[in-house]
Amino acid sequence: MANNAYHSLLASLPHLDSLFDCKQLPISRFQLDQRLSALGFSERALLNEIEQQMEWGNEAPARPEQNSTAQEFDLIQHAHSLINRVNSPDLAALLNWRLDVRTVVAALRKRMRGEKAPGYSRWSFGSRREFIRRNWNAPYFNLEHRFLWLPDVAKALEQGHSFEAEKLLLAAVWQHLSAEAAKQRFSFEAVVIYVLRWNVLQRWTSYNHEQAIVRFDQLVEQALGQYAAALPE
Amino acid sequence: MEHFVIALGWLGTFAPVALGAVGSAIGCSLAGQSACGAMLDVESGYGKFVGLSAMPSSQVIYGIVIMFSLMGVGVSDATAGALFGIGLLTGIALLFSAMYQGQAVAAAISASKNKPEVFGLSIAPAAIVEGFAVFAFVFALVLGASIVA
Repeated sequence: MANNAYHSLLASLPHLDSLFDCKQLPISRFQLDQRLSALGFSERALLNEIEQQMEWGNEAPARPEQNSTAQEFDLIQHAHSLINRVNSPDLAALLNWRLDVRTVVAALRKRMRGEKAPGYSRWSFGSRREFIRRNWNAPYFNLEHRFLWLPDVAKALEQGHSFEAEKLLLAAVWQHLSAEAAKQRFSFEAVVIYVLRWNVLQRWTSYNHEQAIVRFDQLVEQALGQYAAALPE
Repeated sequence: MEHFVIALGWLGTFAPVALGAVGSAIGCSLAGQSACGAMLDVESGYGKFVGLSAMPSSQVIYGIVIMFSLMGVGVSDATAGALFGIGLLTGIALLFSAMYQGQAVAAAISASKNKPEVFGLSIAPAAIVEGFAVFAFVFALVLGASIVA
């Protein structure tokens, strides 16, 4: 894609304003994909790979012939190769930051389960995996000054408030991406950051959607009263 | 050597138009692409985006005026050096001011698309860049008038 063509693509994308106030996505996935078709083939492929790697709750692809450690190793290898292929220091730093967030949360969960520090350095991805391993027993892995939200997330996880922890993480990722978006102007990096922000927004609005379905079911049951039991499963 | 000096004089005379045209083309292209993109996302007010995207075209007009002014001096051994210096440097100023004005306009379109109430304010950076192009234009005319044939 010609450098200048990012102007039309980015100007055609609606502004993503606020995370928690958003009730509806400003642009659907179908429309977003249509607009992103202005990207060149290789850029689109790279963007898809970044999205898959960064997607919230992304897990190793289920491959029955491999055990979970081998699958984890594949995922880590893939993340490293992706960062090496990204031809932009800003983007590589952003991807590393996002992977660091996932690593530090994974480390928190592992430690809460009573697991010991991993025995090998390539136990996860991100640029701080070795630092986390070396500071396994320190409160918040000595990263509380780097990740200001870490103590709150750790407390929420300890108290079993998973939704609260997820909300804090979403807010942290949104804030970081918004700050990075402000630094970029009409470039591939700006497109990637937009799509990652859209994914965070989509994640948040889907939570509300799920909540709405639960509430809808409650209202239906309430309305049906004693006849609710007569309905087929 | 004499021919070379004369050639430089002609180069300086036409440089404001040529470089101004290159800059305006790049600036209008950047701003125009933003305007096209913005039109996909808004339901009305297309005209103001298209109008705004034409802002970097003023540099080539300044270049044409400077060219006529320098041509009036006449290219000779005595004037060629001055024409070359004034024309080339003014052309470079017009080139870069048009390119960067295009980027400022693109940002203004992007901002005012999302927040229509900032339309007027968002043009300010592009207007300031225009001011620098006007400086180069005016002082090229002043200096051009002082060239002694």
